[in-house]
Amino acid sequence: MTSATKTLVPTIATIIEAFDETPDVKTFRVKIDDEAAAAAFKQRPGQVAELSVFGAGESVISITSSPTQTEYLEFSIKRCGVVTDYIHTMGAGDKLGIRGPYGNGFPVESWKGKNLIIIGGGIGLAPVRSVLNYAIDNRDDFGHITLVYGARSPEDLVFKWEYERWGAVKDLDMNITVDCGDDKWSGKVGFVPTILKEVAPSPENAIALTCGPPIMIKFVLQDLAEMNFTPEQIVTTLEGKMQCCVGLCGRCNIGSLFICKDGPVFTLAQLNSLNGDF
Amino acid sequence: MVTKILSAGNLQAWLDSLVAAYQVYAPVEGEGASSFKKIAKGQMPAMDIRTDTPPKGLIFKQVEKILSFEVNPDGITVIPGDENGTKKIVFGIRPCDSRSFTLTDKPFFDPNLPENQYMGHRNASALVTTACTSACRTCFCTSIGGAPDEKTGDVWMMDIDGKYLVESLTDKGEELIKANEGLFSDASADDEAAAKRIGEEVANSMPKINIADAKALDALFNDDAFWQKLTDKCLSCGACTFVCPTCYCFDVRDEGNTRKGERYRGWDSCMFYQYNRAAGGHNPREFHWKRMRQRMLHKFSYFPEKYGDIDCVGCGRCIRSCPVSYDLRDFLEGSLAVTGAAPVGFEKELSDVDTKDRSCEIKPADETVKTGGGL
Ligand SMILES: Cc1cc2nc3c(=O)[nH]c(=O)nc-3n(C[C@H](O)[C@H](O)[C@H](O)COP(=O)(O)OP(=O)(O)OC[C@H]3O[C@@H](n4cnc5c(N)ncnc54)[C@H](O)[C@@H]3O)c2cc1C
Ligand code: SF4
Ligand code: SF4
Ligand code: FES
Repeated sequence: MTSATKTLVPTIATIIEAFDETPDVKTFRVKIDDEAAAAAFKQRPGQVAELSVFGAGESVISITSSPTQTEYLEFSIKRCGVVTDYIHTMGAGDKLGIRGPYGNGFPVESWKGKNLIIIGGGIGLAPVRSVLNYAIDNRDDFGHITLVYGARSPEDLVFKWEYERWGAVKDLDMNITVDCGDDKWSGKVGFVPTILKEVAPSPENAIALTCGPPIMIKFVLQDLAEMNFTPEQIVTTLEGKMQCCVGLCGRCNIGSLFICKDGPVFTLAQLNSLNGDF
Repeated sequence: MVTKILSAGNLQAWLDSLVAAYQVYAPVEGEGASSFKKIAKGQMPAMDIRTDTPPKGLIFKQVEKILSFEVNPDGITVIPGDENGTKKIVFGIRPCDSRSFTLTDKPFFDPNLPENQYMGHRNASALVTTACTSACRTCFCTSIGGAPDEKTGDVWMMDIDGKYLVESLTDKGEELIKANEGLFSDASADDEAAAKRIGEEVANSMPKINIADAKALDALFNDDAFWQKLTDKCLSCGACTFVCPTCYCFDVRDEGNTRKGERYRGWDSCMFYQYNRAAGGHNPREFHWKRMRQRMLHKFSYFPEKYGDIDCVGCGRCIRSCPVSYDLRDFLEGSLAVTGAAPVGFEKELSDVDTKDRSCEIKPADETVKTGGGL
């Protein structure tokens, strides 16, 4: 379960490496200091952690690395407030607090043998990348993999250093797009939903996972429905302001479910049956 | 468990003996607001008042230190906040407030993710509940499954014509009586019958509100007009959640600097704009009526759905303390009419709120019947 017996008290971790992804997203490789706590920290793809900068506060961040990566935990963080601004000033050797893993994560065991369609926008690639790398590391457990990922501009694309490796994986169809290209960009140009329609993945024996800005998700969901994906086949992760990540502070609920505890992963079928403030 | 009689004259002696051994908190009149305060030897609590603020903060602290930290040459030292709560007695707590802790226990005693500090204070506290021998106009405990004489807490007592019937409900409670056995005499069947009669009288004096079930209320979610009308006057001041014994939302804040400091959790309110405002500005509960919807549905739909009980004890404090007279009972009655769960001929409108008397004057039970419950 959790690494700390004291629910709201984090354990200490060290940043072993940090590098810029985009002008406002930075990736951190982190190792938990205490050996027992590190061993107890066993996440599923799609789970999150509460990272602490002591003196600044806590932020919920997706564990973007796959559980098959046991050397470190990876977090890709967008600079957008008190805690995330401070984290961006940190680098190798600096100490963070960490507690978790939290949330339900993706039900990857029940997806064995299925084709995966992974659709991401902007920093929204971070949570689904844990599934992508998990499926690559367990390649025979899954069918065909389709990736559709986009950002505003080439410089806003995250995980560029992974594309070559992903492109070489067998049965993996990679589609990277930008809203607006530049002189050097020779790839696809167009919004994620537009490219998704071009790629037109089949719903046959497939699961579609999507994470990104609300407006992208809105159109992606419409398009998937048009392609005859059922609400049970569509999976998304939700966001919301969080303070505790353990279902206590009250604020992150969608109806009687907490995004932090019962989510952040929901099927569209579940979301359709819930009344909530999104 | 034991049932005894304590003469009114021996109440002070019992309290003094408890004060000698424990920290004892009891209802005390205060400037501006009455509340639970630590009492001293020889001090008689205000046994007949309903405190303006609930005893919630004695266990679910308004501000609790989660940890302190310090950067040193070897890294960061983190010292978790205290989990052992000080032994204390909450004396003269009303059944509704006593019940409120049993509700907050549900999320905080989660076996997988217990909130150790709340648990520490809870386990270190004994609740001595005083049954109500009259109801306020704003009380509606009987409508949510409680009762003015509900046996909840560790010790239960009731004023029956100038003496107290005292019953222990837990081992912890029994100790408080046994350690002072000389002050108590045996209770008779007549005494117990008298208590039962008083309890029934008070309960009968209280108007009963029908409450739609969790699912029916959730179905109201998309009726924007209903929520907007209901919330019309609300100022988002948060007074209602502050005085509510069952509201438990909190915020987490760091104090100090990045070399040395503390982390605290403190009461928050779902009625505040900032409650759901995320980095970047997105706020799914931007409007006050969405926040009101959250407060009402959390208490009467989501919490019952999850834990089986309504997360309101009918104490009426939110009704009494609202500066613009928002009345939770209007939500309950109005929702019945809208969900179609109301009895035939029920034409309750949401508009007559200003005609209500929200005072909490303590009246003899029979007089409360005459004046009506204010509904
Ligand atoms: C399930 C989930 C997964 C996430 N994964 C990532 C990720 O992989 N990478 C990434 O960059 N961001 C992610 N976020 C968003 C990230 O949590 C917020 O951007 C971050 O908390 C903002 O904190 P701040 O102190 O910089 O902002 P401020 O606006 O200064 O926020 C103050 C406090 O409010 C809370 N808060 C504010 N906004 C959010 C928010 N959107 N979500 C949760 N809490 C918030 C935090 O406790 C924060 O400390 C995720 C959010 C959720 C809910
Ligand atoms: S919601 Fe109002 S009546 Fe119910 S417990 Fe809270 S303060 Fe009391
Ligand atoms: S006390 Fe009244 S005005 Fe203040 S937030 Fe509550 S309902 Fe609104
Ligand atoms: S973040 Fe506190 S309840 Fe979900």
